[in-house]
Amino acid sequence: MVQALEDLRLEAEEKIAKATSSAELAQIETEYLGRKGRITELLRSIGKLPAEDRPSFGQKANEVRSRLTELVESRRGLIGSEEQELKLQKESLDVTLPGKFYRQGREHIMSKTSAQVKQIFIGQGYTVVEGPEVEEYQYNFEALNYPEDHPAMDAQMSFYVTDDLLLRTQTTALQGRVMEANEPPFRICTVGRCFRVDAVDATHSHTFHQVDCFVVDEGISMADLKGTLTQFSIEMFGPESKVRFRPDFFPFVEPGAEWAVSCFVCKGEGCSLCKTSGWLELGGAGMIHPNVLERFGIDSERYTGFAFGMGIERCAMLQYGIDDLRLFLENDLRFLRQF
Amino acid sequence: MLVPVEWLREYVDFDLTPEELAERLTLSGLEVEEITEVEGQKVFSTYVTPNRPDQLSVVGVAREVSALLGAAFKPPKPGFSEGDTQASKLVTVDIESPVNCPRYSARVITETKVTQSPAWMQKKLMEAGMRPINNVVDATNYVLMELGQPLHAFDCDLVADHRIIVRQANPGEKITTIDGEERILDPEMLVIADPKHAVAIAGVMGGFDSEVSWSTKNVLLESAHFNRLSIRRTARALGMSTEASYRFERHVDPELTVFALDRAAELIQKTGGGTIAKGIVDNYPKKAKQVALSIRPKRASLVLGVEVTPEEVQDYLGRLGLEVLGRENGRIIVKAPTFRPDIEREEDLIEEVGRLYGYDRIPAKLPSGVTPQGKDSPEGAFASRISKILLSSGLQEVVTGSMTGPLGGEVAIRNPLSEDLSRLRRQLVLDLLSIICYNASRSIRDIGLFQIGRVFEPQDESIIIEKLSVGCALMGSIWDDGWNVDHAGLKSDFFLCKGIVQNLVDRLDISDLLFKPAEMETFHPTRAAVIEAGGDQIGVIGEVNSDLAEMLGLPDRVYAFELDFEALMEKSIGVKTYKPISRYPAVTRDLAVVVAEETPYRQVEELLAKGAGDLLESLSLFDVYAGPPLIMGRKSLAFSIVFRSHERTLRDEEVDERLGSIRSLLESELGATFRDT
Repeated sequence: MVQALEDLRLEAEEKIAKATSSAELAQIETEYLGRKGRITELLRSIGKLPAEDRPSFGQKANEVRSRLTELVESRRGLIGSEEQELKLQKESLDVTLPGKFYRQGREHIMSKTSAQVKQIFIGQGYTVVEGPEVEEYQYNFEALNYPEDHPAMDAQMSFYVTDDLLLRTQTTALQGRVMEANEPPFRICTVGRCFRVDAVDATHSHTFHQVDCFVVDEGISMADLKGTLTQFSIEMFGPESKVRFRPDFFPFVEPGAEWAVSCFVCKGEGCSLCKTSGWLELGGAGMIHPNVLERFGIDSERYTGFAFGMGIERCAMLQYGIDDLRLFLENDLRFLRQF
Repeated sequence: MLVPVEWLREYVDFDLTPEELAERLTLSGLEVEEITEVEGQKVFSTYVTPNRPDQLSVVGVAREVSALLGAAFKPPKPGFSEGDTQASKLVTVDIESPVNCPRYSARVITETKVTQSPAWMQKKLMEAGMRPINNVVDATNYVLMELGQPLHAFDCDLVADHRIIVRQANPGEKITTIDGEERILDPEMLVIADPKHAVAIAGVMGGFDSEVSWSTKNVLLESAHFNRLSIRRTARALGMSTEASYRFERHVDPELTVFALDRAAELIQKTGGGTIAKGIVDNYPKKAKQVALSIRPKRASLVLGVEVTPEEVQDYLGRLGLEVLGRENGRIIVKAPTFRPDIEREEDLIEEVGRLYGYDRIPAKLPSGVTPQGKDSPEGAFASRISKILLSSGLQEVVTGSMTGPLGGEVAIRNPLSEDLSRLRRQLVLDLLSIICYNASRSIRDIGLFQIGRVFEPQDESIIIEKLSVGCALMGSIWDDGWNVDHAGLKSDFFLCKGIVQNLVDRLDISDLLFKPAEMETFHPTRAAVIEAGGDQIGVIGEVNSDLAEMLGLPDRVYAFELDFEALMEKSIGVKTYKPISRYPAVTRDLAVVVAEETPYRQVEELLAKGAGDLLESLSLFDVYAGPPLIMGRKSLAFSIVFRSHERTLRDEEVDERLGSIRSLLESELGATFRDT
């Protein structure tokens, strides 16, 4: 019997060592160590032994059982990790395959640029105000100090809806509405759509977008205007931006200027973007004409103000190197999905 | 205007190269857009702002250069001898419209010979962009370019009675102008006439019949000042723009007429001989006043943001040709010359000081004092909220123009560029459909778009209602691409479109949303609804009508909605309060309700909610089915119903009781039966 136990041990040990899968191991475990296994079977026949030998055989059999159990466990650990490794191998992915994503929306470049411009001026303390696209003649021209039927209006050919209503040619039209309803000081920003009778080509459109800002307060000077535009340009076009003023004429400002920012591509050296001038013209600016202030009952001795404007499309075209104005309202998704 | 640089040098000295001078002029307000070369001579192409008509002549530019550089200004000095006969004996001038013609000056040159002008004159005229004709016409053009005064030369013998009458045209009066065109005039227009008929359209163009020809001997030279509005309207009404009208509609110095006549007479005599009749016929009933005004150097410093001294101010203004009358109480009193109509008040003088001081020397600083709190407009801020939600719904934002074709709106533009830009749009959806077509024809067929923009409708003849609208349109798969993706199963449909609206409205904290079936022109008759919130209509939704889709050329079914921005904004102002989360477990039961096919889902949902009462946490529809084994005309709606209490763990019996209520309500109200799930 003792010999049989010893043989069984050797036989089982060899099988365990040779087992290659956890299923095989489980089978071995059941064969030798299970409730109906061969060790249990041997123990059942313990009655055949003399009474004095029974305890030592029982002890021996238990030793064999625990030894085999240990071996099975350690073998199982080994086989398990091999099998796990194999399984993970089989699950491998080609991580270079394209990713999948549900469709994402993008802001239109006009909204994106408008928001960027507005955010800069909100940061400088400006309140954004909305004005109508269908505007009264008086706010678009008369209140802005345009002399009756003056050649200054030639650059602002208007679409008319009635005798008195036109599609605004400039967001500056909002100034009168604000001055009429508010007492200075104020800092106002408006971004909106403007219209001029103009045929469409790469650089002209009957519809375009403009930001107009103005400040009225005590002691406001042209130096404040230059500083404000410099600050804007730094935020919009980069920290090295400088602003240049050149005398220009707009009936609602005096002194009036055209403002330009130093070319952010060539840093003023001259390149194709700035047409070798080193400067990018952005819009009109100046000190609000006292005729405009006085028309709305603002004391032009006590208060001075500045105003400036620029095209949203122009800003975006410069920032992204866009060379055709028509792209903005065409809504070709191949264009819009780039921003 | 074209300004030959060598011609400029005749009136002012400068050491700068043409390029340097151009830069100087540009930076002080007279933009030199281009420098070209004509037969080795540099010519500036300038852009003159509408407020500076004095720069529309070579001498005017020379005056500016002299002011900028502090160099001597040397205007021409006409020199000639006159004959014995008084000009006033040879011609008479009557002004019948003094408002439109405040001054008319004339000279007469007799027994001159019309010939080709000398080479030096032809060369200069050509550099300035003018075509030489004969010595008389060339002399008038020369003076026009040199001094900016438009002149006209008549063959004196072709002016009936040698009598000039400046009057309004008669209704339907005709004149053939020197370009050979017959023009029909109206009484708004000013003409130069003889006693028989009009001989010129004042300030615009001379008449064919009285023009100077090779056989002309006696010349009547006109140098006049006309009202700018009269000339502008006449030129516009006739569709003409000439060198003369361009200048008159801006302003020509009324004090310049005689000087210009002298200069032209001198040139005609030099080139063609003849006798200049004695004196000038000068009809100038009301002399133009020179404006006296003052400038405070302190105010100039405040406005410019840089210190300028009284001496600097006086120096700059003097250089520009302003007469300094004196100083008093910190003010410098000056008289503005008649060639500067733009100088009317102190700010105009401040600009002149700033220009000569140099805009580039103005420092940059930020406004002092407290910076107020900046903020977006309420509409702008709300539009950003909507935009964010729709972007996260996978929609691409687009921006289209406000002008559209006759089908797109009622507000008409009186002077449209074209038929398809002749109205202001009434809604956004049509624009979105056009964009879908545009992109579909470029092989992009899976599209989801939105736009926030203004729409217009007339309230009455004179009031246009303008409001913001939110539009969306969907076509094709909601996935753009991706491999092994079931695109057919992911196609946009009415319910995706509706889901986008529901999500938007929910995230804007608007409640009581209702979709009511409705028939609308744009939409499929049985696949459209008006959208209500709190009992008010806030928009419409539907599948695009197949007729419209066909007309536009849409390649697939398109679903769209349009919402009233202001209604959304008004309803979205509520403040949200937090709802506590229950600590107790939920009990979920599924129930498949079989009802008549025409029963709207909404009725079933309402009864379910009513029956579940306060223990209902949520209910969701997960299947809609019609077909065997159900009998014809019945459909099954399968729900997952979640019960939960805030006070205790629910017992099965409680939930069963509620389910019982639900069943009996549905049975009695809708004759519902139930399927085992």
